[in-house]
Amino acid sequence: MLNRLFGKKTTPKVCLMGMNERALNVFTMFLNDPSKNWCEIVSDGSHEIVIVDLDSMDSSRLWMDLRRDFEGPVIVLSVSKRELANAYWVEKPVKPEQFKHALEQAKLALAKPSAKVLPQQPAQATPLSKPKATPAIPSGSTSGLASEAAAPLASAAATVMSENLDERSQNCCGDLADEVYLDLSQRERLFYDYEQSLLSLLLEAMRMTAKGGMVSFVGLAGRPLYVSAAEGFVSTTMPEAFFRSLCVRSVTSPAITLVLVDKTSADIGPSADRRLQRLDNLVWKVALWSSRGRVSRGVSLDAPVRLRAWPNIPRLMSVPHSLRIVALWASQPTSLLETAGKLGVPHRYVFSLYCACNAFGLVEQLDATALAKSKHTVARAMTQEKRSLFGSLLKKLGF
Amino acid sequence: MAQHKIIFAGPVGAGKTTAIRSLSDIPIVTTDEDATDMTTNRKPQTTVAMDYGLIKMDSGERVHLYGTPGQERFDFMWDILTEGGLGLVLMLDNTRTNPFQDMSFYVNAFKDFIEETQLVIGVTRMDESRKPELAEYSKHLASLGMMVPVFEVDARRKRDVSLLVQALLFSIDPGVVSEA
Repeated sequence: MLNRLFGKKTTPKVCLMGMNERALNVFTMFLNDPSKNWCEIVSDGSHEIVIVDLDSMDSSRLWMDLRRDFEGPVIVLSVSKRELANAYWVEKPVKPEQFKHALEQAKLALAKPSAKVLPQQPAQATPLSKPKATPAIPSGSTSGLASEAAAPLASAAATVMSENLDERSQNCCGDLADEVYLDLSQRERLFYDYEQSLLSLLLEAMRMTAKGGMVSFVGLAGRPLYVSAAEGFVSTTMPEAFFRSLCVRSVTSPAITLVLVDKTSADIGPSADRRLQRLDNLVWKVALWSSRGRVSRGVSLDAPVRLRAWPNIPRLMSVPHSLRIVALWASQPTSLLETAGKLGVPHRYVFSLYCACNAFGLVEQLDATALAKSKHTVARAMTQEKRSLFGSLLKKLGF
Repeated sequence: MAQHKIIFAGPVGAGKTTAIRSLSDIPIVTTDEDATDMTTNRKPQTTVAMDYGLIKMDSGERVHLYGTPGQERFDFMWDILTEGGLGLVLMLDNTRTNPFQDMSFYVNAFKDFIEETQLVIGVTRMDESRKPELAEYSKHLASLGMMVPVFEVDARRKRDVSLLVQALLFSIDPGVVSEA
């Protein structure tokens, strides 16, 4: 039975969610063991089963987001027992046999007609979860229009869906705890060296090709990366997870260089991984992955941040709380440290979002004098009734 | 029970009706008629009075979604529709000849309402025409003394339209949190 279930012909596609980078690497290594051939890890939205760690900070919200977009079987990893619809609990620390058993059950569930799972399926909150002020990634559903555009639309929606689920789970903003931000003795940990980051090279490539031409990155782990800002074009053969890992390393050892090449986007073709096909989203992601909850040296933690223009949030990788944070910067310039305090959101999201917005020139830091002189819109005083209405409406909208 | 509404405005074919359909909990009520004037080259039918959709919340409260007619000659409806509204969602079609002109027209037409509430802008059909880019919309808005959310959207995608409305709410009050 097990052999048949876990044979090559029935290898299901799975995606991993809710894990920090280390756990993700360990789990990937575990599942990729060729002798197992239990399942295939995918990150292109084609997964049939989701494996999710529900012991993370935002697990309640993560579960709701997941269920809003995915109705299939889920394997839940958790220290305490979870009883959730169409989900199979595996106790942590994970034992291979238990995991294998859960995967077998999930595969059996795949063979059955899918039971409709309510999107608002409640999650059993973990002691660490913060259900109250958590933002959400709304569902990426499409309307029921039967038009010629239906096929590409569905495909785009699938990309967005996997983007939201995956990126959220992979902790795109690092894992620095709030205590680090408030502890003066640990302040050094809040900064990174921009000049050594892939982001600096990417923005340089954008400048070089602003009016035309194509730049190739040389020395990027032997894999090509082409960028043309004028064409809004990016192409690479790298899968996103691999590319992401490059954002952690320094660009000077070994050196990565930029070379102008005589090629066009038509010669090169699009990126193999659909998540790396939009240049604006790539810049946004590289900024987030370079930041990982930090800002580049020289950025003030106390100077008020003002928003110059809104980021194109529906087409960029989701950052938790991004709408609230940028709305605050738009209406009341607020320092990085104060922003987290005022909104009650983890500092790492604020810092990462600042870096991503800054890569597009969407934010600026003011000095106190300039702030006093500047005209900015102060958010209107809200009645409790209206605030309650907004809260209900946000919940309804999937926030 | 208090009644609330959000207004969707914009030129013919920008996606107002579709956006409302994406969010509405009921089949939308629309008053489309065969177009008889210059709008015929953009869509065969157009909204002549208004579109109507509804969001029903767990608390029992309701938010009505109203779409204004896209044709300027129906602008006598706009004041009636906006009264008591929470804010304005302006849908713009990036393939039109001069979307900035459309933007200026609607921002000016709803000036009083926007000053009292909030504006967000959804730009549709950017997959067909990448230009003008969103940054140009923001620059144009800055020249009008405004800085509001401008998003690329596909009105058929609930997520996109939902994010527009969320941005509208957070722009009014960044401190608001979703109900637990």
